[in-house]
Amino acid sequence: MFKVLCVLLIVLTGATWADELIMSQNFSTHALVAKQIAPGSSRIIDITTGYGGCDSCNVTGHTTSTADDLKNHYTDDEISGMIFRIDLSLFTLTWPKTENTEGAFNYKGNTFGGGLFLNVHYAFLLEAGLTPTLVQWFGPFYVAAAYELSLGKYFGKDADEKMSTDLATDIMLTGALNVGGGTMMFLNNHGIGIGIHGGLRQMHFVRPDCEKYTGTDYRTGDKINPKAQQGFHTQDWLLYYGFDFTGYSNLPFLKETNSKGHSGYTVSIESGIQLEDRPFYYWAFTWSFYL
Amino acid sequence: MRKLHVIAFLIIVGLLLSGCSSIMRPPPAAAYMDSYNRDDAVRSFSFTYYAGNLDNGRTDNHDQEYHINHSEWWGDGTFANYISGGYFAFGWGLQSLTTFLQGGFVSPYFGLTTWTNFFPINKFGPESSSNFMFHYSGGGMAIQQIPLNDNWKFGITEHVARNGREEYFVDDVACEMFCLDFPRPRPKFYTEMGGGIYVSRKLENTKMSLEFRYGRDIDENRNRFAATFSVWGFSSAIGVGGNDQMRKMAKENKEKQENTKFAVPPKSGILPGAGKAHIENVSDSSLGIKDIDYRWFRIKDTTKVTTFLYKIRENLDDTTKAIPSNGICYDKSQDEVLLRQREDSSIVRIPITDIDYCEKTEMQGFIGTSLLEGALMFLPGGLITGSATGGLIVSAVTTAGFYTALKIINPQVPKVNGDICTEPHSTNLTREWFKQYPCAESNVKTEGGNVQ
Repeated sequence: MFKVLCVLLIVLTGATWADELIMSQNFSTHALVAKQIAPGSSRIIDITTGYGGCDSCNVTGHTTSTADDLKNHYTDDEISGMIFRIDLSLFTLTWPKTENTEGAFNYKGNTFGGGLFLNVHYAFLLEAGLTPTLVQWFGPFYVAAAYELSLGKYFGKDADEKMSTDLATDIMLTGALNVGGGTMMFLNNHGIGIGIHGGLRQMHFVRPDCEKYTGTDYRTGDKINPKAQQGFHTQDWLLYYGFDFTGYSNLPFLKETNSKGHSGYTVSIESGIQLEDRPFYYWAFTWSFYL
Repeated sequence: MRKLHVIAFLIIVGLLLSGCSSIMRPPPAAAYMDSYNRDDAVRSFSFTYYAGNLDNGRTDNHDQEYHINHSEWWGDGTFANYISGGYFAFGWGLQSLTTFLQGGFVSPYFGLTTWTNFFPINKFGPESSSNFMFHYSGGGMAIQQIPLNDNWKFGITEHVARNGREEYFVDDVACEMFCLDFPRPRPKFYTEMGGGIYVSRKLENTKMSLEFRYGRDIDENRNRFAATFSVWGFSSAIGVGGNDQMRKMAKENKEKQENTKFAVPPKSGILPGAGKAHIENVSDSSLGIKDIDYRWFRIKDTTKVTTFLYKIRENLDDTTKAIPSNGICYDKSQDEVLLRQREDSSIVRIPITDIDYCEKTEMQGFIGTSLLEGALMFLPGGLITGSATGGLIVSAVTTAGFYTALKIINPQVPKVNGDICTEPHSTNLTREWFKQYPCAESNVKTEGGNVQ
């Protein structure tokens, strides 16, 4: 399966996309590590792919008028961006201390477990950053907050739709907050959990400068006269919800199974929208492993 | 854990690409209630027959542009899986062409469940609407169950549901370009309230139930009745759970550490490690092997046996192993039992202290499985061919095909359940029992091939 992911990575390097999304990570896996549902787990690997944009937002401030209606109206800037990122945990602190890291038959995680995490991430094509995350469980529910600091350079496209380093943004430093909470229900005898989470998150949309052809050669039919188009950077708050599915181990059979420690995986889908004047939306799909 | 994320990925993809249909009616209750507090998964198969005031045979014409044929399915085939976490059960399955999810509270005497179809990508419809309620069917059911004895249970159900049924949209306007002029199915939903009763019975390895349900369509004032026959068994829980995988791996590794032999031996020749216990190249008649009905024999010292050992009861601390045999005799001079092994008919010698006799063996038949598969293919076959006769033909072919394939692939296999060999016998009692099958005098070939 990792080979498939590597192929996906290679394919994505050649793929073209329009705008960039910058947003914080999903915190549902951090919640599972904070609860220590797989006792002794501390390392998290997230792979996230997402898509978002807006079909009828005016970000550039451009206006237009027609012969029928001479009054200027704001144009719709069609925004659509993608994100593909990998997150790794650098530092994990959970509380209370997990006594039975080898597992137990009736172990169901820490009822009031909490955790502080520091993740590092890399996102296509040239973005990296750090994300501190805080999670606290209160019985069946948890609250979480994550703040991502990203440093990235985003590339525009030339008139032939090819990525151009000449049209890249300067190195941008952005911050994206994600606050919310969730709940999860565990079928502990099987090692399966199903959960929902939601919250409010900050999302950045970046369109670097680019070029577009503005004319056509009437003799050859070729497009001509490329002109620079100014990009933009906008950010907004989106309400979102997500569904989580996890599989984990916590039975005391480490020696019998020749396992070094307990582990788990999570599959998560998120969707968000901004309901007011600018209807930004996004979808994100995350795979996580916690070891 | 490496394969778990692949399975999870497939589950998510299945969810996203869910269902060709959005219509659904209440699932059976008995198998759901039997999932209480189990570590393994309930796998159930059901067939439901609907009767009463079904909406069949009517046609609605609409402005000469299209008409709708009313055709309500009279049957459903339901495949459902349930896993439980104590008092909570979660299930998923397929009802005819509709994928669904189910879950709720379950206990030995009371259950509460809700179900919903997956939200299919079906944008077609006279209303031209793709909102939630156009694709949703589901409901809730309360179940009260009374165990009558170890084998029989009786249950009462009450339900309220948004059921779906089909109607077929047919274009009446001629078109010039590519035309979709075959009847296109559309869901039609109605609200139903009702109740039912069921009885369930435990068999050797499976359970079955018969359920009757009445439903009142409060939208169109119709009465509908449903009769459901269900069969279910238990199997290892789905592999996406980490603890299921861990339990399975622990058992496998423990068995490997105990050096239990699981390989089917070759047809002839001394087997590696068989040692003094294996007897070769001597006919049964010269040994005095007596033919008996297949019977289970519990083996205490598994090193003497070279054939497949059946695990009668699976616990991490105590696993009972036994083999079936239909040829035995008792060698009084050596105080040993000669036993014919089933797979290759080779003879092994086992000291009387290491063997115990148990119940007669029942072999798994394939008729039941084949008939069930054939019966389940009747409905899809009828839908595909468009006639009941076609469904019967598909069903018969499926039955014959399954029976033939199972016979070829699987010779008769003994049924294994947890009730075998639960009553141990003392060595003296065991000896007395085996004495009724004495070996021939001066018969046995020991190691090195010397006949005494």
